[in-house]
Amino acid sequence: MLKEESFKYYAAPMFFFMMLVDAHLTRTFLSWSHGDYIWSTHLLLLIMFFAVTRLSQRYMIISALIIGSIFDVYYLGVLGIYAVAFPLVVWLMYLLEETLYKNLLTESFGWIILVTCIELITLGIQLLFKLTSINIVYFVAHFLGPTLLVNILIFAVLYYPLSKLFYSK
Amino acid sequence: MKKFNPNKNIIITLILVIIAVGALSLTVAQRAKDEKSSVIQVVINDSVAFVDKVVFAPARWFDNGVRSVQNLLVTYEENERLKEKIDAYDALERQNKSYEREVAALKEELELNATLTNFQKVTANVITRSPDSWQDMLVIDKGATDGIEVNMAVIAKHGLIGRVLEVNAMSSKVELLTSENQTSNHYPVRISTEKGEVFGLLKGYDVTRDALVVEQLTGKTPISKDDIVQTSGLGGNSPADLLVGTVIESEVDKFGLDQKVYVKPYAYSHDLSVVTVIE
Repeated sequence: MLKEESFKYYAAPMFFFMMLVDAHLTRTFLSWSHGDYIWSTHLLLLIMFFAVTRLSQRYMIISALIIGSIFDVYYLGVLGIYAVAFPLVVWLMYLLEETLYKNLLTESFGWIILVTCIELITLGIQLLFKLTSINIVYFVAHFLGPTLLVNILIFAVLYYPLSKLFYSK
Repeated sequence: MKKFNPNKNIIITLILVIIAVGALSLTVAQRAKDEKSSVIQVVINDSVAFVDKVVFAPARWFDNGVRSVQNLLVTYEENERLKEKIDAYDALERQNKSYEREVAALKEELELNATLTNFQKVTANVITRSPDSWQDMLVIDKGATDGIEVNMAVIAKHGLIGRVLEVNAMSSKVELLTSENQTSNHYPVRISTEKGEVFGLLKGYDVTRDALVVEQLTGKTPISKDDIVQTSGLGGNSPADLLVGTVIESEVDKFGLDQKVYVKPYAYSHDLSVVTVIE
């Protein structure tokens, strides 16, 4: 339902806007849970997940690289964590698209895998560079768990409208 | 690209890994050394901060409105509590004023211009907070043009919450005390016990207990619950007498040599909208 040609012009600003919305949503959830559980939303990834069916691989990976770098420089101050994680995950999305038949079940599992991948990749890079230290049980229960939960909920809520928007029937 | 040429792919992957590791190492080193941010960083940070602040201003107003209503609801109980405290306050204030006069006179005698307790405050709004689960950072809307420099202490309401990590022209990044970064600067603190003062270093944050950890304490004075912890200003890197928190418990570490003190912070760092930077 989206016009094919003009989509690639406003896709990148839309990704940027989603990145800002993500951070504000995450912060709101954080203050609701009084700092105990971090519910990190990945709306940006969700939009990219659906946009993968409409945009070329080169465009997506380059914009993922740029958005990842802006994310890094603005939110973290170090270049390289999300600048590496986003293009990798987008490349994974294309891989999934090539090999899997698109169907609600496969897409939801694909989504869960992608969210877990991005969390683990960013965690891995930060551990490697000693930017953080973890206590595995606590962090899985308080960070990974709620993140996955809120992302599954977002996927469930937004799947139908987004698929109507992006998938040309 | 159906032809799979293994050599070419491996070389490309290796080059990309080298670039990524190089970029990361460079920026981590730059962040740790407190150098001024490069022009590109300043430009990107400031433009994104500006867009963020402008676009989400309505959300901020809504949030402030909700907060005001919440404050209104607890006003009555707070009023009762405060009335009880006001009697002791007057005597303390008079005593404080005479101490201030004495200190000012002594400073003038010794011609001390800038001491550890002279500081100016700059208030800033929090634009956003780092959404990454592992790095705890705030982006605030005051920068080099407002006099902010790297390593300045940041407080919220009453308690210390962190340090300025990076400064751009119109925005800055504040690293919170609760972040697990192992390369950041540590605050020297002072614990006031009944038997005297103990000095130590604020080494980190224990997530399971939700408390800051103070280590490397001098002396063997016993530390009891509810002792007040403040920054000591020693080392010249941070101002003195900023409130950090109160002691929850203290324990001796595995080797029996050092004490570890767990401190409950005064300021809650999960719901910040306005912070103050101490110059």
